[in-house]
Amino acid sequence: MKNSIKVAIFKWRELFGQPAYVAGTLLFPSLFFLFFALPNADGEDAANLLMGSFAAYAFLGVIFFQFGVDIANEKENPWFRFQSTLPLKTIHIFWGRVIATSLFALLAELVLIFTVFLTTEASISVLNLVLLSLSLVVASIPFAFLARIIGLCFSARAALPITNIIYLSLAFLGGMWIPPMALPKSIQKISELTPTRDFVEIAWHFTTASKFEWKYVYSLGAWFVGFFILSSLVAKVLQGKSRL
Amino acid sequence: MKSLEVSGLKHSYSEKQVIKDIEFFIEEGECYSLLGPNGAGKSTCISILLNHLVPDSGEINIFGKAHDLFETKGLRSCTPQDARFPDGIKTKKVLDFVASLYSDPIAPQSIAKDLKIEPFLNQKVQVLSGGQRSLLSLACAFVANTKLVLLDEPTTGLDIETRFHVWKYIKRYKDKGGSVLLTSHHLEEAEFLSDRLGFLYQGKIVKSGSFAELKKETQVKKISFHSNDSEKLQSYSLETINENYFSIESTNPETDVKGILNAARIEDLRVEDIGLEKLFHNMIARGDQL
Repeated sequence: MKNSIKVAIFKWRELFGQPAYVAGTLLFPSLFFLFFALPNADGEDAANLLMGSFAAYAFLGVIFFQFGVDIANEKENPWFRFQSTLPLKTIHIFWGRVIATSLFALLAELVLIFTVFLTTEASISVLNLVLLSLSLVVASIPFAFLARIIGLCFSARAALPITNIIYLSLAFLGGMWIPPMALPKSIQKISELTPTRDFVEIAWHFTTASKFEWKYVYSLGAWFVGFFILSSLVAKVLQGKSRL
Repeated sequence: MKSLEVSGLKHSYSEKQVIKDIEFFIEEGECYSLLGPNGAGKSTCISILLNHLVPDSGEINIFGKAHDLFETKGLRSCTPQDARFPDGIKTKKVLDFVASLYSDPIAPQSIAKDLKIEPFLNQKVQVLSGGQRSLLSLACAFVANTKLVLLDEPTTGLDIETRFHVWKYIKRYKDKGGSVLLTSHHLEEAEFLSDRLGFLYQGKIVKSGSFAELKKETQVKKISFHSNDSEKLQSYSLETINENYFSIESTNPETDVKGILNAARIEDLRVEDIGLEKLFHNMIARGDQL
């Protein structure tokens, strides 16, 4: 655990050593909210729903880019090879990334919630905010493995647009930008099958008065198993004799 | 105890065998150089030693322990390949991070002073010059304070003065009992630092020993001279250095010098050891017979 924290701190220093990247990542969801969602955030209920949607969207963005694009970048960076020669286990490096990314994602989520508070009538209790944050951390794990597949399969140059396509498509289909009931009928059916829908439903439970349903948790659990197996297979096939 | 012991090492990419039964060892306090032309297998060998690649067969022990055990990671250190670091981090933080992972590291401040990287400790790595990054790489290897260091082209990008300073630092490390595995394209560097070397060619160590032994073994001398009668020396394989200035390589210099002096009018005759570069060039030229 100690070594995972050291890796996480190093990763944070790396992230915050690039202010343009940090500012862009943290502010983009809020700007997106201001431009496209704010006009529809009339009243507390609508604002709370959109707060849940965009908090999930902001959180997921960090996960997708840190696990997808960053892994693709690292594959091509000799530092990653050097890191593997240090007295660190793979699990330390993995958990270090999880800790650093989760904290960064939480920051993105909080910036978004702050923006929503400033501009709408949305409200959330401190307890629900904590529960929302914790649940987003746990529920984002399947997406970390999906992004890992992208990072492993593609070069750094290709990973960026591919991550964007998959992340933005899933965000739209899951109902993060437009509430599912406002989506076209055919898309509504597809929406129910996406992991992002399960993810945002969990977020809505804490920002609106919606009932908690275990089916979303089970569904995300199934996605986790699928993405975990697939990413492990991809890693095994691509890395061949390499231990990295 | 041997710091590093490699035996029966073989590795292939697809069908092509790139490492063919390599064997060598490094004693404590010794520097061993792996030399060879591009594509000889040096990088593959280092990748296997660092556990990046799984060999087809062979045994590698670091201080008597299998090299792929987690605990051996703390017994040896190395330089980052190509001296590349993640953007956004300050030099000091890179050193602090590496040092924090080893059980008995040297204080980063002290290594920074010894390797003259103090002036850029607070700079971000992306603004460092190639030479500064090479020094930081070396600092990453030595801050660990392990008894075995793997140095892959350690002085690339360094000016002559700094390179010599680094060589002296490595010598001091050796004098304190540290062992070094060095790969380098600078034969001068290898000669200065190494106690023994292995010349790797087409995946095999084709020559090994100390530089002195290798030079003695080859017994090749270079005879150079000035002559206006070069047409009288057609029985010799003359290499033209410049106008009317020639050289030949000889395994029997005494006889050849007499023969040349008898055959033509000669001035400014010199007999000397052939340079190491030439020695290895000759080995490669005779590659098929190795």
